[in-house]
Amino acid sequence: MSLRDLSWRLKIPLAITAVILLTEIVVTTLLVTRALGDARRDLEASAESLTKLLARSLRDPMLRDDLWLAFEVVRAPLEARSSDSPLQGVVVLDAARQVFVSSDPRRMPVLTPARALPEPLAPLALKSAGDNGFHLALGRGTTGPELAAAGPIVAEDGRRLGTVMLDYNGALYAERVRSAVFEVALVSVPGLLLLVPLGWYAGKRLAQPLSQMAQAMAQVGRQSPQQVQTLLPPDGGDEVGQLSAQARQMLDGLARKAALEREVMASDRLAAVGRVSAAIAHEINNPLGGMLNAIDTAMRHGNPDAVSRKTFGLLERGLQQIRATVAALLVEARLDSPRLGGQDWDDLLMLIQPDAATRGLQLLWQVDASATLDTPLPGHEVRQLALNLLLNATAAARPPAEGGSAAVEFTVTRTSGQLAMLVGNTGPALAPERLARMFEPFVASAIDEGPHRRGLGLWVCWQIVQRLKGSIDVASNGTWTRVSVRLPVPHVNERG
Amino acid sequence: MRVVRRGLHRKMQAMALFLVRGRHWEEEVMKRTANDPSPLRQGNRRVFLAAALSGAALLPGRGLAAVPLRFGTTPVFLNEQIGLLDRWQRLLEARLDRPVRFVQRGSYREIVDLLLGDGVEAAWLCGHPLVLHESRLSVVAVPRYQGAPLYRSHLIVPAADASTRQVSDLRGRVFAYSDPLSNSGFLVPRAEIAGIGANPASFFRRSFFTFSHRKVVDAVRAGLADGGAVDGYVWDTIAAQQPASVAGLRVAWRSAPHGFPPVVSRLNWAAAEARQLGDALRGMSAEAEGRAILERLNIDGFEEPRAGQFDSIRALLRVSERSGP
Repeated sequence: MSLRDLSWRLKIPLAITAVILLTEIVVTTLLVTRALGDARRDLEASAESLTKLLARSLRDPMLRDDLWLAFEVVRAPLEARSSDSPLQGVVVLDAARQVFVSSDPRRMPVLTPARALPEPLAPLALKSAGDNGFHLALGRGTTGPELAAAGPIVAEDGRRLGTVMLDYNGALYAERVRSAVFEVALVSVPGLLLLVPLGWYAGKRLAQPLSQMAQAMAQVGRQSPQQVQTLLPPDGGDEVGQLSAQARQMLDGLARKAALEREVMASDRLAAVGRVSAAIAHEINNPLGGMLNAIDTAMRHGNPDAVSRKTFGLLERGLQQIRATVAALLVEARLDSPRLGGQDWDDLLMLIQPDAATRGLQLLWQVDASATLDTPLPGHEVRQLALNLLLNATAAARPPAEGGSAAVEFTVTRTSGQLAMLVGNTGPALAPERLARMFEPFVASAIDEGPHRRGLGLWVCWQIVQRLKGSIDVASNGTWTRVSVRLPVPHVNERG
Repeated sequence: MRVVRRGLHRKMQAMALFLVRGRHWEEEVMKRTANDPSPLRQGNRRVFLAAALSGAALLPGRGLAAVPLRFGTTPVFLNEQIGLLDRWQRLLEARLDRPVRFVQRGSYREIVDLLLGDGVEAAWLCGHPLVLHESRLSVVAVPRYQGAPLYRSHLIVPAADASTRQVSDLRGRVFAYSDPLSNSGFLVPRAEIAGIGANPASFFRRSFFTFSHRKVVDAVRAGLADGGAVDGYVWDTIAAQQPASVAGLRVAWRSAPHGFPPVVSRLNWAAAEARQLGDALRGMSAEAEGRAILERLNIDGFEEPRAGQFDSIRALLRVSERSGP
């Protein structure tokens, strides 16, 4: 599993934790380095001041060869040292580099040659003899860490009287330094204990919208775009917020596209039905015309008897019914139609009023003044369209669920390029599958409720609208079912 | 001049010690005096010190009762026990009806010089300086130790050193003397070395003075010296009173008895005052407080000097001078 496969919910907290750890390590390293440097400087400073003090105090005893006083002087720092002091001995060498006195005469007896001294002291004595400076020897010997310091004892005229050397317990000093370093390192532990969970929590919080986003996007295609939208993190100015906003727009687009596809499919289906109807009507009308002519000829010139006449009559009425049905299926263009005028709306009102009254419907009639003008649209067809819709609405109107009386509304408005008609009726909401196939011929019977059966009324409406290059939509919200028709008004005729 | 240098030297030693210990020596003095049961001690001592150092004569017209008796002490006994000295001082003051001031110095020589130079009226000294300055000093009283006014010199060595039987066994080693004017801590071992025909100056690889019997014990115990010569009486007292201080040491050799370090005065000091002091010292064993002090001093009491008491020291001096460098 590569780093790219790891969730940001882990990556961000891990990154923050890593940064915290790194920072702590760097800070601790600096502190430890500093502590080590300080310890070394402290040691050097205290060793140097002690050698100077001892050198000053030893000058007179050495000049006077007073061994006992010198012994008391070198014993003093050991008697006065704290219990954890690494100082373990003081050695004084004379000008001949022999032990003049030492704080531990059993280990380093009087007159011992410097070269016979224990490990860190012998080489240091040699080094210190070379100049009148302070020397500190800190290193790793055969038995462990070794530590010693040396300074000159000089007479007032600068002549070298001897050397005072401090013998430290290197292991104890190293242990003290180690424990000091450990204490410094320990200081960073509470910080880590506090910062790492905080960093982890902050990382989780930061990664949470990203993770939510990923989960929401994983649902695209499985759930509807509207449902997916509820899973998205809230919009905002940051990158995730922007992503979320973009995703919302994308989901809206997806929803629109799906709706458009459904519309296109319905419209394609209706167009196909139209083409089939036209072809069938054409194929039927030709033999039908022949058959009617034949019957007419037989009736007029064939001297039919009573039975034949009755039969021919029956045949003729049947064929006429077929013709009417076919004619209804295929609305023919009627080029002789007069232009739509204000009178047409009055006629419609007169036609529908009795029906509405019979059914006890409230009729909400609103014809915009602009719509009463002479409009360059075929009057017969618009009237047929409006009447079909009105009759349909009157038949379908029921009292609304929230109470009140059943009603039918009719609104017409006219703008410069378009005539808009709205026909609505109160009643229960229509099922989505019924709305989807509202305008198809003879379809509704299987799913239609009640005694009312749809026939060709809305199919005719659709054909008229198609021919006039307009649009027709239906919407149902539970109280009202409304059919909205928009018809484009040609410009040329507007001026004429 | 040499005495002055030695004195300054000792003072510097104290200063150096306390500097090294991170504490001013005066603080130590203050601390010591703060523990002192006598509230006047510090002031009195200062008055006395001023007088002693300047060597100024006492103001005329004042009675003897107001004039302090200056009593020099040396490490012939454990003169560092300040509390004991205070008790002894009070006792002597009551007995003599005059102030008594004990005076301490870093070496026998300084006390001898004070004594000869009118810096102190009396001093508890070793028999060796008495013999050296017999013409100018007189014995006031002699302590009686274990029934007789005698003591011995001890050769002490680490207990680990089982082979040393006498001083001559330590040839080429490091040796600690107590004081150049000490009989038991210097003269006796020197005479021993001279007695075998060796040169005391080169007999040891290294020798040094601690200017105190007690410090000889410390030096041998610390391993600084392979052996040392101490006053047998001081050794016994330390061993009895602070056994831990002599742990790990043994007495390798004991000298013949010598006259115990006496209390002496200048020969020209007023005889009445010298007698008064001698009586006061001798009278200590007759009273409870005196006996308590004598018990702490680890002596039986003080007695009159006896004739020829210090002849053995004179003999040692002669042996030593004969072989001296």
